[in-house]
Amino acid sequence: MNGTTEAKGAPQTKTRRHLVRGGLLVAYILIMVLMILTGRRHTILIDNKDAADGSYRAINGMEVSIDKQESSEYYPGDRDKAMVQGQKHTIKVNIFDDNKTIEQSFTVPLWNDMTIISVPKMVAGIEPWIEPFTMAEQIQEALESGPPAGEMSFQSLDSGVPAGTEQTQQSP
Amino acid sequence: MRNLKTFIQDFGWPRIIIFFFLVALFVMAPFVRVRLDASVSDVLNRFGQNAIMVLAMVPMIQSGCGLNFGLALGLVAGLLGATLSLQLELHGMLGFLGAIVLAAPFSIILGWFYAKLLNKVKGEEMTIAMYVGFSFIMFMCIMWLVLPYNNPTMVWGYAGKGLRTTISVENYWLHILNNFLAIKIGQFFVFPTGLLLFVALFAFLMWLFLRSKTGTAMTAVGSNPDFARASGVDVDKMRTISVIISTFLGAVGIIVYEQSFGFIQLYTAPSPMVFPAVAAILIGGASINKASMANVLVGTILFQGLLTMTPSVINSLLQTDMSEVIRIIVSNGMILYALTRKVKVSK
Amino acid sequence: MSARKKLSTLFSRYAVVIIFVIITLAAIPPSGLSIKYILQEIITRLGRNSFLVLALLLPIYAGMGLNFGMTLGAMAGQVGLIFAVNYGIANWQGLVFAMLVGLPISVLLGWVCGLVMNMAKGREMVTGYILAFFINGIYQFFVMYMLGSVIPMGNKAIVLSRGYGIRNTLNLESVRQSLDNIVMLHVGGFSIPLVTFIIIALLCGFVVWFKKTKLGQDMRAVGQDMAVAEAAGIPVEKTRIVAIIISTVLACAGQIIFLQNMGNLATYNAHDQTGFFAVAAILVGGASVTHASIANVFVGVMLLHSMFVVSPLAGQKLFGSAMIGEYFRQFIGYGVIALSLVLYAWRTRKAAAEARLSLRGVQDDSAKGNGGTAVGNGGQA
Repeated sequence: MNGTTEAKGAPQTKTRRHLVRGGLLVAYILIMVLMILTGRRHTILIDNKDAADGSYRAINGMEVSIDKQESSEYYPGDRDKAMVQGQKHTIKVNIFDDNKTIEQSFTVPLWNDMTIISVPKMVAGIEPWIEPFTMAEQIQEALESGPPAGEMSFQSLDSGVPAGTEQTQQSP
Repeated sequence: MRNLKTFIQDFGWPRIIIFFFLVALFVMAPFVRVRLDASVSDVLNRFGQNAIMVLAMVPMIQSGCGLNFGLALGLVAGLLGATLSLQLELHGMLGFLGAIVLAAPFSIILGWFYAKLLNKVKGEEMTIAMYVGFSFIMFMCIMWLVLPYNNPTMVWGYAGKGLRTTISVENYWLHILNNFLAIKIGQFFVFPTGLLLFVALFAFLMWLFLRSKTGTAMTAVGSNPDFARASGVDVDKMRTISVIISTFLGAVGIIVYEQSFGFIQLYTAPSPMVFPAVAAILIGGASINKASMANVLVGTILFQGLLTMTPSVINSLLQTDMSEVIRIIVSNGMILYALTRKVKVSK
Repeated sequence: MSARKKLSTLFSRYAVVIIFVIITLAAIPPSGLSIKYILQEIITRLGRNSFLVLALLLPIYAGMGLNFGMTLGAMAGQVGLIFAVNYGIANWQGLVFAMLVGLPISVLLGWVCGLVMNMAKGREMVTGYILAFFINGIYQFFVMYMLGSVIPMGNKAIVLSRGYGIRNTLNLESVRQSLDNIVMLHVGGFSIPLVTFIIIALLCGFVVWFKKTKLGQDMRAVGQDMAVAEAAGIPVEKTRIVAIIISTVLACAGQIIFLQNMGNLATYNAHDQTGFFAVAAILVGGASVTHASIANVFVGVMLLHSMFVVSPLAGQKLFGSAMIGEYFRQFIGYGVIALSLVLYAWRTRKAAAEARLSLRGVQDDSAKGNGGTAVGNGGQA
């Protein structure tokens, strides 16, 4: 088969070869992009805390699940994490007090490693309830809001930093 | 002009690059506060430590057996001699010479078997030698654990048996050659006379041997086996002699190394020592079928100079330790260069 | 006379396999391991190693011997995995990503390896071995100095505290066993990583198919006799390069499969033993420098690894030291390679000598004597 086309004319095989190579290159890039989009892993922190200024209050007991992962229970002051892959996800919250279920979908930026979802904010409808999270910022925040709030700030330091350190210990 | 061109071609680009790199390192040394006298002393010392192991490559290359990747057999024989000398509590010069004498029978027996094997596999010597060397090292690892040595400086304290991975020769024959007639100039410079004399002695003996009747026959076998056979030379016998000499020199080489380094290193320690010896003689200008005393001397000085100077100079220059990477690339690059060069037909 | 000769040829051809089966069977009782445990280990290790060993087949067909240069592919795979971890790409997608990163690198390295081997015809094995060391130096340089300085690394957890260079051990938690766990069959108490085995089966299919293609036929022709192939118009050098490139790319994929099963990457020396284990496995399986089949691969992996499983414990029980078992298995690994190379070289020489003698019409008596000593020496080695 190859022999006959080659005998007829080299240019034809040449263009075909170029086409095949170009196609392969496109496929290579496409697969790589697809793998990055679907394979990129993000950490989602699920937070159930009072606001520093008292604009919203923690939920008095709820069950939260991300996508189809196993759900876990949260009580005021709790913070936990879930690992997800890809960018589009749904969060399902079941509040114990009034047995209400809320489902929300959200998108995580592609190159973001850690995102925090404040469930009380989400339930209360305060934007933005989803924010990128970096450990350094969080520590800074906790230190800045330190002295005046007193007890509260210690709590946020306690719960904020260890959550981060625990995170680093588990992931390496 | 033409002379220069052929000279460069014969000498080979890699060697020239390495030579100028080394010169550059020496020139740079004072600017990055590396003491020149200490460096030169260091290079001399390391040259003496390693030269005999490099010398061990010569007979096998000459007889056409290629690069002796199975030098480990000789090294292990040397280790046996050294440990036996410690076991017998031989001290000082007696201990050092005793180690060599004790190593001799092992190296001759091992060399003989090794030669028998290599004679059966002509043309495939190098790969096979490498794996024979490795497996023998592993076999000896087991032996070091079970042989009935009982000198407390050598065996593991808590078990009372099994040799330690590193054994100090400090109370036996540490620096016995290095300190012999050593000349100390200033605080940092020591000229290891005894060590260099010993190396010179062996190099001279080898030079004599290669000019003897047996030596020339051996070289003939290496350059043209069919012609040698036709003129009545026993090819296998010559190859056997070369392998035994090479193995014995490997044994002497590691004992010399140990008296200077201060420790006998056992178990898997010999395996990484083979490649540097191979690389050194190739850097010196040898090919896989031709080697001379000059190749040994130049190669060992260049290679050891490189190993000594790169850590100190490059470290102070770049604040990182790249010496290991440079060592890997240079030594293996050199072997690769030799293996891929078209083998010249001897005229 | 001729029956005895036949028996001795048969023995010398399968000497390695026979010796191996005896040693392993003898080591099972003292190790105290249950047959079920050993079987499960063998299944796991088949999934982990077969792909790497299969990568050796094509260069053998092309007459280039055992491709010790496969380590280059392994290094390419490791670079791919480092990037997958760095960009936080998890699960099987991470593995595919690593493969895509490793692919161009391994093609390039394979091409270099092929060129170098073409310059050292007849010495391919030792050249490939040294080339692997040489490229290892470049790999060290790249991973230890370039990554994190010239090429930015976003994930600070994998970078050394000095700010550049990758840590000594890389946790592959994000991709750990992601291929094995896509479908893990549980049959009769055994866990079987189905997808891994399907991929290995596909590769076997590829090898079988490839041998029938024009290129595959050319490869065999080159492997049989380069001069004849050249005369028949086969581009010898190019065919050899292609064989090495395919082998390197397969080794890249194989190393990724191997490491996802292990779950950890020893950044600077995970590839050190890759070539050694793969070569030992295929030789234990009964292959030689010029002849190998898919069956050799699987038999070899099973035999070699069942010995690896039992020998440390057997050493512990028999000699009171696990180290002895550890050294013993390395001794056997290297010894097997040495022995097969010796037997092979000896056989080719003998065949050549016999051909010479039969041309002259002289009765051959010396060959038998030679045979005895060669095997004896192999044992010595």
